[in-house]
Amino acid sequence: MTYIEWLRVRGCLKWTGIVLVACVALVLFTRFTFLDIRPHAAGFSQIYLGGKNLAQFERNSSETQTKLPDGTTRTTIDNPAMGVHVTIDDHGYWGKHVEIFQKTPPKDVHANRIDFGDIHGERTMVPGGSLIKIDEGALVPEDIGYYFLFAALAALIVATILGAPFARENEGHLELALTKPIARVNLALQTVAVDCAGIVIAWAMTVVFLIVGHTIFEAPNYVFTAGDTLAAAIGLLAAFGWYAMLNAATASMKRSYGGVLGVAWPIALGIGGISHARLGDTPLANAIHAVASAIARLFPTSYAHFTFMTGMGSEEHRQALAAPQNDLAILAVLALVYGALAVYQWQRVEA
Amino acid sequence: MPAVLTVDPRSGVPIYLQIIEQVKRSVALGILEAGEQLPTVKQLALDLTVNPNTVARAYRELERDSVIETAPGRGSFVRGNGVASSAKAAANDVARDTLDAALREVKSVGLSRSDLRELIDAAVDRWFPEDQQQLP
Amino acid sequence: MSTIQISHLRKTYGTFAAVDDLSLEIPSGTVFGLLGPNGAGKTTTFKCMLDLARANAGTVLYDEKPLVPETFERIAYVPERSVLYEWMNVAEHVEMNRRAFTKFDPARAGELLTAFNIDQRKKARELSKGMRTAVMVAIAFARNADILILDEPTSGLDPVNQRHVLSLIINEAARGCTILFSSHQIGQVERAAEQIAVVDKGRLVLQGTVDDLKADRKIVEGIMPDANYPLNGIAGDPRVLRTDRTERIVRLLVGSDADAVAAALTAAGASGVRVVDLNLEDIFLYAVSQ
Repeated sequence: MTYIEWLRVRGCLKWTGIVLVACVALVLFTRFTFLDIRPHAAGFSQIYLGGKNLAQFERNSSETQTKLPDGTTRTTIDNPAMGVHVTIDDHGYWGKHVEIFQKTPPKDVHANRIDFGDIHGERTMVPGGSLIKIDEGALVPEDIGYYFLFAALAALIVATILGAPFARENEGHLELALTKPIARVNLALQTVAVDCAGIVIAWAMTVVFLIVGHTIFEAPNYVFTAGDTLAAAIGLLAAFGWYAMLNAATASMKRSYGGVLGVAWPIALGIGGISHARLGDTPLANAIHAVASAIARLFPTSYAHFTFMTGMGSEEHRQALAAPQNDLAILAVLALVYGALAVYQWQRVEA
Repeated sequence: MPAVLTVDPRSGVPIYLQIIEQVKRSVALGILEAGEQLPTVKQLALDLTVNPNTVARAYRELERDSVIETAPGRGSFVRGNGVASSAKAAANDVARDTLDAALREVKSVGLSRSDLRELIDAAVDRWFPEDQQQLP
Repeated sequence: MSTIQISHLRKTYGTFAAVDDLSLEIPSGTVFGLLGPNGAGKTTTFKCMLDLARANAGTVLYDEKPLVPETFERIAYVPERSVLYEWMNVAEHVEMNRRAFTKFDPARAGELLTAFNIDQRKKARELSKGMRTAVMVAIAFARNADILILDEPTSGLDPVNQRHVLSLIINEAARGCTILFSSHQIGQVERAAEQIAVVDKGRLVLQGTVDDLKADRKIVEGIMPDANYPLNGIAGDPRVLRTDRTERIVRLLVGSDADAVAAALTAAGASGVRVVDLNLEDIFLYAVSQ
């Protein structure tokens, strides 16, 4: 019964795939054309050793390179004068591990750690000096949740494209759609289910392609946390809610539904922007802010916060988002309410 | 047989009457012989592109007029018994209907009975010259 | 085998009554022609029958039961305008029907499409108006449905394909299918339909068997001595449906017993009285000009 919707979803996913493949192709091109450089152990050693010391370090060091049985290239640099011993294990695609022992570290140093992208550094005070361990590339586990952010964006775009399934039938196809041996409610629910499946598939495709893109550079090494589950759930529910909202807005329309889909993003972004902006303290500004904030509550996108994960956002914002489960609940309710509204309207549509 | 039948659906004469008239005429002329099988209702309906129930109605009336007979499961046939008499009856039916139509028209233009008789005599003489020779 | 009963159907759009207290009974196994001028309410009637439009009043029963989703398994509908999905090819439309209807015969659909000279790989948007009609007809006739509801099933088709559609209708009728169809081509209705109904401004104005209507409805025409000569009560005769006088000529539309009315007209003083046969087009035009 939902063959048509499957065809629509298939077409949409085909384009999603084409875009993603193009992106991966671009990454590949970049990888092998411009950026054939590995992250830079030396550069980061600098941070620890300091620029002045580095020059001295390089001048008086002896360097040996050996190939370990597992293919790792081990470089050891010894500088007895400075009391520095460096071991660099380069696993190539599988990452790089650097250890720097300093017999006499600068006075003010203490144990600390630094994380920057796929670089993780850590200094520990050991008997007789300090030991710096730096992991790079594949050796640093990455939070897959970040991919869920991009996937959520892709899911939202697909949700927008699929957003008016009932209006598409209203536009001159009801004579076919509604003369099948199936109750309208069931047809409506099945149609929505197919679209939601399409959104999930687009989401998953995006994650897979991001992983593939990443794998081109270095071996995958991901961690999956509870926060990631939340990020996935919020991203998908926001897409469902957005889809349901667009569907509810267009379910009775017979034409020009494309316009609604087109303006939905600018409106949501605009209203969201106004609701967050500081407009000043005039009565008008306050009124506008109040209205925008009220309207913004209707948009599922207003609840798609990922700040709990990224650690970004203002302090008050973070506090408000202390319990992302609330967002999840609101998004679920919005999706259901909008979905019900759409189905209800479609029950009443006449050819 | 189907080639013999043609109907004009656009005429004011009901299609089933047209079929009846044409079957009777074919029987009278011997185009349809005793025992000859008629097409099935469906076949004739498709050949003439007319409603099957209309054809069925014509067949029913032909059967009632004893022009054809229908054996369940075998089809419809021109009646075998005394085909000569049924041919004669069919010829009479056709002639009567044609004459009726003509007389109705004649009457409408206000001719009297004697005027009509003169016309008929003249027409009969013209159409049946050989019989005229034998009249006393 | 299915009987369709439409009782007191009414459908309004604002203050406009598209269908107004329409009652029809379409007996099982009948080819039923629905005639009417443009905007008479034929399409709206079909839509109400299929629950595509919601009637304000009245009922539609299929074998004495109201329409339920399962009824659509038995009904094939060809709408008046193309409802094909522009972006889909013909084969995909066939596939859609195969998935939706258990009795759909894809091989038969293929045969019919070939007979109409339609390339299944073509997208609907590449087809002409007539070809779209042909696609919808081919698919409907491959449904093995008990009931066919055909709204202008020959619109846009060339005469050869029009005749082909007519043959298909007759073929289905011979199978026992109940067929309700509308057409502006009265010649087609005259051939294919056993019964007809004429609707005008949403109301039923005439109903009957085509052959009976032709046998009964006649024009009786005569010339009176002068333009105001009394008709001796003939105009009030229940068999006389309508009386037109132009100068000395009297023209009576008669619903039955034309010969008796002709005799009465002669008796009333008319000369040159004659009975004129009416074909369906004449009958239709008289019905909608009342």
